[in-house]
Amino acid sequence: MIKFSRYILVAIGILVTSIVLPSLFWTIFEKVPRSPNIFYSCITEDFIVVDGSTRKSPEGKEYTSDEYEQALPFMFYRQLMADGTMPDTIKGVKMETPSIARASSFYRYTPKRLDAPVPTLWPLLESQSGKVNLAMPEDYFRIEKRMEFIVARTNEINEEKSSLFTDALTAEGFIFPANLIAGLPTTRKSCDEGYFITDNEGSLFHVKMIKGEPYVVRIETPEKLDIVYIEAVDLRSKEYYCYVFTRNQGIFVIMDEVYDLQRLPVDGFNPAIHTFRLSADLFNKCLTILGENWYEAIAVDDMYQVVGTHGEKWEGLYERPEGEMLATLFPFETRMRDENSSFVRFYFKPSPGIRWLIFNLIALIAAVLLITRRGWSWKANIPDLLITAVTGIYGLIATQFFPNKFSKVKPPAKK
Amino acid sequence: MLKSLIYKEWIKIRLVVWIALGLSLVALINIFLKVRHDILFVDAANYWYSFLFRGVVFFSILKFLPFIIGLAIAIAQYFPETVNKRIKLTFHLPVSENGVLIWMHTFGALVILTVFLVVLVLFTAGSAIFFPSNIIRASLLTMMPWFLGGMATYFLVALILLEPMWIYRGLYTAVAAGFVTVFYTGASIGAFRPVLMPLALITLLLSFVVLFSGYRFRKGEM
Amino acid sequence: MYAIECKNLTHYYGRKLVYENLSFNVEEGKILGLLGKNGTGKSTTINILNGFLQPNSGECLIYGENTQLLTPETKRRIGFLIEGHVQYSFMNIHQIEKFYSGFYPNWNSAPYWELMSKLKVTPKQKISTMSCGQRSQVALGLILAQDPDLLILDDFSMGLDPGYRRLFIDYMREYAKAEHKTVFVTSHIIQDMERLIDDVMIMDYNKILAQQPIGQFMSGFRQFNITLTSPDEEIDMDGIAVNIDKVKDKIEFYTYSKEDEVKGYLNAKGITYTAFEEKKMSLEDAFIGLTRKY
Repeated sequence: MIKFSRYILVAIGILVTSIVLPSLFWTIFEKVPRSPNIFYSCITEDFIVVDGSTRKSPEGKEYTSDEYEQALPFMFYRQLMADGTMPDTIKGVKMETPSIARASSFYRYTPKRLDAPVPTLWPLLESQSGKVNLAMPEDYFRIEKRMEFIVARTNEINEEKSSLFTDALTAEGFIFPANLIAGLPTTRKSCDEGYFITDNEGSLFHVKMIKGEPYVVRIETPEKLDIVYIEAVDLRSKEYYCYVFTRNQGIFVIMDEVYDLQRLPVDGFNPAIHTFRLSADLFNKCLTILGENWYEAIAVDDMYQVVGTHGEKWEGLYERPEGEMLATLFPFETRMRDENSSFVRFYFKPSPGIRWLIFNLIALIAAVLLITRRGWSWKANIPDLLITAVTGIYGLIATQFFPNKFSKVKPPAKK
Repeated sequence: MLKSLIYKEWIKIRLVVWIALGLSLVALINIFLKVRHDILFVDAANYWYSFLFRGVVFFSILKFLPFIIGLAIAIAQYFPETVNKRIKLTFHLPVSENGVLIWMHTFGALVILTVFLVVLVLFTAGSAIFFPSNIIRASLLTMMPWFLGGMATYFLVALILLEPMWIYRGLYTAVAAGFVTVFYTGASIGAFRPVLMPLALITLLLSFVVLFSGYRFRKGEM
Repeated sequence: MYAIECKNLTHYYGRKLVYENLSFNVEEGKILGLLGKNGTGKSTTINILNGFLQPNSGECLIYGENTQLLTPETKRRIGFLIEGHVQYSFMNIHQIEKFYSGFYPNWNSAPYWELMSKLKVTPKQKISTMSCGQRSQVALGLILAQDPDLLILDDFSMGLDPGYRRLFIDYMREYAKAEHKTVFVTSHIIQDMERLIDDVMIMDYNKILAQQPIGQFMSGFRQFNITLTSPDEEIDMDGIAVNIDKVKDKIEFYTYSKEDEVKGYLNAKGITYTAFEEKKMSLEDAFIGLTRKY
């Protein structure tokens, strides 16, 4: 029991040191990781890679600030108009501020959004109130055994409205409870499109409220999709309602009004670890998937046909000097946070390679020396030595912090 | 014998327990008066919104309360045992040395648990006036690591206080500080959900590490 | 039958030797006094006896049980007075009596309350606010109420007024003899100890200097004062003196030998003296004679 209690303490010691020491290390040595932005120029019909303040073509040609702005007229149209360098037409299309603004959009997805706590109550706005400004409702809905509206002021369920919407959902074949609920719970948008909801069987629905009445559409998908995340957007172009991320079937957008699912031509996207970026203008969309040390950019035209691709790979964390140093000093590292999640967990990150074996060996030798110096019994210290051999400096510190004084101590040798 | 033992432990901690309960009550009253006030001023729907979509935690004054309670009860219970090495008297009682520590510790932990439960039950009851179960559940989930942290603090501070050597007290404190910090890392509502079970398990395992200090004391580390 | 048996105790603090191969026994019904200067291992011995210290080698048995592994039944038979009369001073005298009574089936509160009635304390007064003497009475009263077979009293005299000390000693002696208790007592104040103890054990650094019945020790250990004829004479009294102090022509020396043996030794060595006197010693004198003044 007492020996066991010591091993618990040693384990806690290892846990704490494996959090604290690498975090100290990173505080001292961490460098900003490369995270380029990639755009597609309708002028050069090629990609532009932006790394901080440098902009380059895929071939490595560096753009000046002016060249860069002129290559991306939709992004910088206000600057170009001020300079008087905005072309009147591009590809035969007349350039007018409203159409430019309407077609431009940016979107960014990170795995932090997928692995995150989600609200379970949502406000359902009135989509056609007849007023110019949207208004927040006085109630919030949840979709558990049924769709329930709870009036905030009284904290009571609005039974009538709940039944109305539950029945409407059931009529469309909705299986309770809801799996994912995605919408824009804000009044600061051009119009309200309600929510995109998957039911307990993964079927996709569009739910909104029109003049107090439920509006429910079951959205047919070409194949059974394993949807893990939906993000509603408020595009001024009204091209599509939302992005739909599947576990491994790619990314889709749901086209406005017609509810067609358009698959974006990106392959190998894993929503759990990859970042996705999209920048759109009148002619093209540039889709980028980013891994830890690579990206793959795909440009599509307005019909989602691929017009170009470009990718790059660079040194990974553990190939850089500071990463190598970490992987030598520590056999692993523990973090409470992860760049791919909004949840707190014990993220255990083993160091790649076997360089850490050297430092584990040094820690082991230190442990052996300490035992010899104190004249402690070898047999009783075998577990400690094993712990140190496996966990390196963490184990060395933890076993010293919580000393192993169970074996009878031999009197020191006489001088 | 158990009754006697509990009697002594209770004499040591009762004042702190009443103060802890009083403080908790004041904190809870403060929370709900403020909720009531804010709901009057900004409208309930907006108030819910700020919790659901802006992550405004209306019970944040509870954050360090469990830590303070765990710390205070551990000190009230174990510090008097370390003055003049009074723990010798306790170990000399006609009970097994580990048994006596386990009983003392179990009693202390149960008292803390009771205080925590009182706080959580009152919080739930108060919240039920203003919020639906979804918000209450998310709130309880968010404060769970704080309360687990309070228990872990109690167990670790007992370990530190009973350790006979100052240098090791320092080292234990370093580890304990590192570990307890884990429970109080700022995080958004519900972010601790996946780690609650592991943390609860570790806290449970910590419940008897005080035996290690007791053992070191009895083997004459001083 | 022995109440305490310690065999071949060896202990180090770090590299500093406290003692090596120390053995002693305490017979049941006897009062043994462990005397020694500070730092000679009195506390170490008490800690080993109470199971708060594991010696590097050797063991102590109390009623046949290793003191590291005492069963609750045996602990119930041992009354333990901690150095400085340490008690749970956050309690008052009623609370502490209530507390301890739960642990001892033979609890007899009468002697406790008898002692308490003589103290001028209020019923709700915490022990921590009492004087040293009052606290000693509380600690003593609790041990008496526990009614143990073996009493281990660590430096009971610390901080006590002479009156309290005398009271304590007389009470303890009478009680121990009447109830046939075994007592193991340490003290660094030697005064009055001969009134209490049956056997004496005197410790010096790393060793035991004497362990025998008090009467035998007091009659067998002698001090002689001699005035030498020539003050400059260098003398050593190897083989006969335990300790010797020489100031000019005056010599004080301590020995287990009798007067005629000493005189014979001096004659054989050719040492001449003008005065020869055996000095009557108290236990304190004998203790200093044995352990030296520094």
